[in-house]
Amino acid sequence: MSRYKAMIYITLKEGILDAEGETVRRALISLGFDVSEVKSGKMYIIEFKCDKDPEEVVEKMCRHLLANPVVNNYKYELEEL
Amino acid sequence: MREYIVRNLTDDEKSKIIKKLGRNPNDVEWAMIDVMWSEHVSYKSSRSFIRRFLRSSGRHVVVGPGQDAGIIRIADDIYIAFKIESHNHPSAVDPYGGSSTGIGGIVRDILSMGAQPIALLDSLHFGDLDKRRTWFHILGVVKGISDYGNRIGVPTVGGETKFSSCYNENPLVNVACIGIVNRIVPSVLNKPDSALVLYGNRTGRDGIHGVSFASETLDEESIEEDRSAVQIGDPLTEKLLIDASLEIFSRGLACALKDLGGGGLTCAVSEMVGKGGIGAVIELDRVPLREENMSPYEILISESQERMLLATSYDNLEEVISILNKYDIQWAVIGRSIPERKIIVKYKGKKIVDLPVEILVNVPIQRHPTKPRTKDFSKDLKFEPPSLEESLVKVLRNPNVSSKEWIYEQYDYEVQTRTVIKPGADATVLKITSEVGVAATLDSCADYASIDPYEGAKGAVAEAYRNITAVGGEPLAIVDNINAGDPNNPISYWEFRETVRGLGNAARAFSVPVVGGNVSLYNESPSGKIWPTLVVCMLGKVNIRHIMTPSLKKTNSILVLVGDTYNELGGSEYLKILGLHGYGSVPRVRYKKEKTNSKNVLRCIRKGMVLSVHDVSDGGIITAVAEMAIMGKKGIEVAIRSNLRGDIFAFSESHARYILEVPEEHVEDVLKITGGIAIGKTSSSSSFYFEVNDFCVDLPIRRLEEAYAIRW
Amino acid sequence: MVVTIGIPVYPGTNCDVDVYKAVKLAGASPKRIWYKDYKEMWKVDAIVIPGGFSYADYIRAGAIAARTKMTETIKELAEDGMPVLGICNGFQVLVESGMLPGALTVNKSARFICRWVYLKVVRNDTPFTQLYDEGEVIRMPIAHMEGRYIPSSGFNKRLIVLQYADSCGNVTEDANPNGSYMNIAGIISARENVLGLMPHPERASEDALGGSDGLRMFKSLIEYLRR
Repeated sequence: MSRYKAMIYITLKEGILDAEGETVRRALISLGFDVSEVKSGKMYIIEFKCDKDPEEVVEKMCRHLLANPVVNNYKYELEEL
Repeated sequence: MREYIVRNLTDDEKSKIIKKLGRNPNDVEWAMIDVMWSEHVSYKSSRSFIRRFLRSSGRHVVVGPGQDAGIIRIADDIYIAFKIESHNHPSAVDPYGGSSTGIGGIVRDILSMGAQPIALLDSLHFGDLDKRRTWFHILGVVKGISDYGNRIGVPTVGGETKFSSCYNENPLVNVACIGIVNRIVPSVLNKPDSALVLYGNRTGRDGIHGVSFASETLDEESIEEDRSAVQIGDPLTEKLLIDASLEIFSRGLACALKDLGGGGLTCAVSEMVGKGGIGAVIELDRVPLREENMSPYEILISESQERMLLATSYDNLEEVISILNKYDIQWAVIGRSIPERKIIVKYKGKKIVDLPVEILVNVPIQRHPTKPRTKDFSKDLKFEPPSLEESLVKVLRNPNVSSKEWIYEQYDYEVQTRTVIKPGADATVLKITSEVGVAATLDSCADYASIDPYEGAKGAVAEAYRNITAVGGEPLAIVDNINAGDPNNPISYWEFRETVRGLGNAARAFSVPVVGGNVSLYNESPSGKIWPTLVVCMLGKVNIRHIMTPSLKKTNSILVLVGDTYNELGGSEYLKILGLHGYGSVPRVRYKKEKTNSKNVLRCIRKGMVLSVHDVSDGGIITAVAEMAIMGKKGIEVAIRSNLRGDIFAFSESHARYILEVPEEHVEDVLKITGGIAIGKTSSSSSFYFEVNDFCVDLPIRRLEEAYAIRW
Repeated sequence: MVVTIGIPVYPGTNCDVDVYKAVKLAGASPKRIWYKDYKEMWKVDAIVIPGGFSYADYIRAGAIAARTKMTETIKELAEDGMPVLGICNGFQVLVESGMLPGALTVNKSARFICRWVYLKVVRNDTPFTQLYDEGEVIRMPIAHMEGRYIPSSGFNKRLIVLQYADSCGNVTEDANPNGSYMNIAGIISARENVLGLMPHPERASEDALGGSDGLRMFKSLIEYLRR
């Protein structure tokens, strides 16, 4: 069995209201930064073991728990440890 | 540009519309008509029964059904608004977004009446706990309520959480909000030449087809496909909306106010002016947008959250705008009211909509065939009882009965510093003045309704009535939420009718008017339909000095049982743990007994003759006594003789019953007033001793607590 | 002497009215001040930063509010010696703005917790706790998602004013609702004029609502200002 490390990023799909991103954008502007867009999201770093295709495992993690396919996009980087 | 696809109209309805209008509506007009004629907005399938069975008058009623919320008077100068709504379909697909926007919507409905939102309650129905999908629902829904409700500073003070496999695919999220009204702001406008101000979030594509979505059954495909029907909540904007709106009300600047909910701008505008006998012109280019290239119909029917439509006089416009600017809230004057009964929409210099208001707000009633369910289980129930000890522990551990602390602890139930009786008791009590309080409860008896929808609906009203009584409240009024299956399914539609009939008859018998309600149909998926689930939100009036909680207070006080116990195990928690749900006759509501017992219990409470009160419901007498002992950390000794078999007596869920903790010196009076019987006493030991005929439980309280306080 | 207490209101603050009521009940004159009107703060005798969700807790609880002109003003006034009390989100603002050391992060349970807890008064020689006895056990509700106190390096234990405890005053693991370092519920600044705490004293200001131990915190502050 090999060990892997996945960096998974969860964001909101295009067109879904990103209230956090919008609030942070306004806050940055009030601090004097010239910001046109902010998108918020979440990142998970996950270490795991598996003997099959690790990409498939990460896909499953995303679809079954980490992301809600209704509102979220996800992408990830995968490395073998 | 996307073309609009009509979703809710039958061919027959379409031809009626064309005939009425004398022409073919254009694409944008079809979209507006389509959302207004959806079940969710028009109540076309439910209105006929509601009119026939429900009465809404009473001496406390100030505003009845038809407005954004009902309003009752609880004391000379104290008016309370309350309402309940469902957010079932969105919560099934996106539990977090669905429940949070449900909270947002109900709070804005209360705000729309000119009321300050002071409390939230929610009734949640989930599937089996061993299903992965159920946990997806529970975790998302609870977190959604917690994140949204806590952030907007409105306490979540009570409710109920129930579980059954019938909710596996169709969880129910019904949320109620209570508000204090200083000056009523109507949701109807009858003054032409008022400015229409849209304020709050910008408009995006979220929730397009939300109402059509709620008017369809769910299947696998719709879950993926209807992404755009899901809305996302923005609690910070909602909080600012509340603060700004309250300031607008206090300065008397609002002529009329409406929340943008189902049907979006189309519904808000046409209901506001339509019911007031006037019309409106909308300048669509002025609506602030969040996304590019939105087509006119998308702007008109979008269900983006946290938006309000205010009508104000042009003289006051500047003051309104300065308040909105203070709170950094986006706003736009999007139109004005006109005397003609028309909705006109202008876009890029052209008139794109010109519809008579009637076509949008007067939707014909739709009738469907009904077919009664005839199966009668009551004769079949025969079983060998297991040990009472084992059954009690199982019932207490059953998630329908066990403590919901793990859920309500995630809600801020203290903010606004009014919560006198906290979650976990029979009803919540909120302090309004130093003397006057409001008692509130949410109840359903779907497990009885699954066997007998009519008796189950009455049961929900009776249980709410008892819960208000048990905290020392005088029951005043109801808002209700009926959740049922697809009206095109004759059995579902019959269940719906029986539910309305039961609610109407019970409310009338108890003299507790129904001042508002919500209907959620189409709670059906390929794997089955839900039990007809009536959720009753009842309010009562309390004197803060005479309130009661269920936890036992002292040792050596006497336990008194008020009310008669019958062989009524149908739908009970006992039969559920035995795997016998569906058998037996469900508890019958006996109006006269229910009313008399309530009156007598209240008399004892007000005379200061009792220390604690608990109503008997799920799990029967033995469970009620166990809960009182666990909450009060007191031992008890109970011995009862009954003509019923011991386990049946212990677990029967007959209505109209209470357990009272009475100090020795008042026992005689309490028994005389209530006609109850003394069944035992509280003790300084830490054991629970409960004997009925030849059945007996003798366990340390700690063992019961471990079962009851299970945390998920 | 009329004591005026300023209550800053950020977008999303939601305990300002509750604090207002409690301060009034304790005998002072409260004033709610919208964050844009920060100059009004120059006219008050002390400041209570109320709880809630300023800016919806985005980024980190208190992070955005801590970087507003209102908070900068409060910081300047505190540096001049004005007493400042931060409750819940107010405590988070104090930590985020550097007025108090350490950090407040997500509860050990990763859940929001609303619950009445017992607190041990470790120090009663502060403007905010002088009406309590040293070692006294008091009761107040908590309601937060991010209340786990993490000390910065070289943390001085002298700063601890309140600790989560059991009903007998034992500071135990079981009594720690959120996993705070050393059961910390409240700490004071080195200059002893800025106190931050996670529990809500304003929610424990009336017996009908479950207890009135919190009212004494406001009374302490008022008495201190009157001297």
